[in-house]
Amino acid sequence: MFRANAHEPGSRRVIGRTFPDGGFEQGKAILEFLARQPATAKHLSMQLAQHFVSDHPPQSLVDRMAKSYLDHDTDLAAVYRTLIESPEAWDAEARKFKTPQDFVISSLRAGQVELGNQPQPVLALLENLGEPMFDPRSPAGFTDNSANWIDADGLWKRVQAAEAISARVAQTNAQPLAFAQDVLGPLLDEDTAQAIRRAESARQAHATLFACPAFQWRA
Amino acid sequence: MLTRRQFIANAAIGTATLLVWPKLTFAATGSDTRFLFVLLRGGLDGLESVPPYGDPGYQAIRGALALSPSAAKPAHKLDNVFALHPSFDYAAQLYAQGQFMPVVAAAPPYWGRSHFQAQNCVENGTAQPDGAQTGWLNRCIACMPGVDGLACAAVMPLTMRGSAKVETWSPPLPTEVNPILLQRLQPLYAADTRLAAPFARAVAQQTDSPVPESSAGMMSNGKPGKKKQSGLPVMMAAAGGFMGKADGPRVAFVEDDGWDTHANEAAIVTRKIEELDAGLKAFHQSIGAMWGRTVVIVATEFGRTAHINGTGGTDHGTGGSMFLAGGALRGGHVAGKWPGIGSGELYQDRDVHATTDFRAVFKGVLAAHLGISDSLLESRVFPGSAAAEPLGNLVGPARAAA
Repeated sequence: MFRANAHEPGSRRVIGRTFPDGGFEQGKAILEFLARQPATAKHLSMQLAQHFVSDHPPQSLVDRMAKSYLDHDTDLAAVYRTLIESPEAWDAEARKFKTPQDFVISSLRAGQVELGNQPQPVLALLENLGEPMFDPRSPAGFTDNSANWIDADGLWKRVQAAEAISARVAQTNAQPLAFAQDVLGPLLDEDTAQAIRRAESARQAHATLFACPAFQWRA
Repeated sequence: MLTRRQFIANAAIGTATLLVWPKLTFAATGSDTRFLFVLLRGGLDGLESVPPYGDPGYQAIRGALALSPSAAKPAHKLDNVFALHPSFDYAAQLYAQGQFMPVVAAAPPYWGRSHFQAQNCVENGTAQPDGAQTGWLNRCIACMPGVDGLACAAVMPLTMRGSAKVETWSPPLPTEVNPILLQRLQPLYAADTRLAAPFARAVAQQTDSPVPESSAGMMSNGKPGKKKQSGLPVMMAAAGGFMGKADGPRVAFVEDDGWDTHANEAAIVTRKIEELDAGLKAFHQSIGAMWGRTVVIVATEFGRTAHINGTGGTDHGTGGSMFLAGGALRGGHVAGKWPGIGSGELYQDRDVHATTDFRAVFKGVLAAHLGISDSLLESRVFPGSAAAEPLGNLVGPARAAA
């Protein structure tokens, strides 16, 4: 949307370049100029790598992503391709601790919990876990740094949440271990599998799955 | 002491509930004082919280929002110029006892009007957004060997991020954890290098831990009512509960939001200041005798425009109010140099001109109350703040419990 009467006329000087008066076209030209800055390439690549790979992604990966961005005239799809095809992205150390939202949504999806038109309990849960929907405490938004989400209080609440969510999973599932294999894939280690196998009930198996350390990571 | 298990048993047969706090252990060293920092996010209006009713320009500039000790809903008169908002009932009592003090026309060193950048500066303790990646209060704790901090927040706020050890706390979920599930999880977490230590702490904190009186079913009938679960009265009561113990945390942080009053300000500020006032009272009650050795600072990221906007509110401004409270405070007067709000006195012709840099107040309290040396304040806690000289005479001798 462009509101001509809210736009201040006149030329603009941005990073050493002057953009002549031109209304909407002027704004568009400035944004395109900013989008093609190497600093923009670096910043976007770092943020993507930090979000998808790790809090401290390898510089080599960020550099290659930034290069893709500039080589492909700001085409983000090319940046994503570089990210996905990079061996660094699949390293064992390249993992992110799930945010509360990731944790809750992945639990609900794994457990095929139907909320219908009753989202309130889940919204309350997200708030309790420190990530109220659309409502970060800081205007900078929720932190994307795993270190800021990992603490004793938060882990305990996840165990409690796992208990609560497991109570909502349909108990018809007679094969909790196969279920865990489906959910965790190669992340399901032998010890976790055994803990799930030994659970006293399907509900406790689901709680164990949602509360286990392997489920807390995006890998 | 009532354990979690007994609590559940008692609750089941309908007996009393008890408000006590989970077991966290904190090393107590050196002088046994306490400091709480309360951050109000959104921009509290200084002219509404501490109305300068005696300023000749006030009535004209504030119009319908103007407050006064002689109004139908009277503001609490502090002196011949300033009053406190009518909702500050408890703060006014503390003020009369020398245990509350507003600082007028105060601001962080950043004078832009972005929530994002201003809060970042208030939290990182420099004059620049992203001027530091750690928080000033964490750096302060790092200067106090053997002292840990407490952030009453579900996620570590920037103010408390850094190398010093800080625990977070937020109201527990009411769901019971099956002890057998816990047994199964412990070896799994022990094998996760990153999560082993925090999980072990979580379990230690829960052992024999009493449960606060909270009963909303987490996945049954919970409502996203933040004000009830984590509003200032709850969080400040919790902070006081921890800090009041002999081995409790010496430094703690509480935050709140919802102060960004662009529209319908009179009603919102009345409700929010009621919460803050109730928070101060709850904190005082729960910290008990330790109140006498405590200083609280309440700050927000900026004040608001002097003029009212078209929707009965005010927009992002500069100079605002901050508040100090506590039994160790030398309060009972209004601090800060008042710049006036008459013609030609406003900053950029719209905001209260800030005359006190927040850091001068922080440094004055940190030095006198927590014993942080001037050189550490300059080099580590607030680098580049030499121009903001520590405010003196803020802290008195510890008071006996009232």
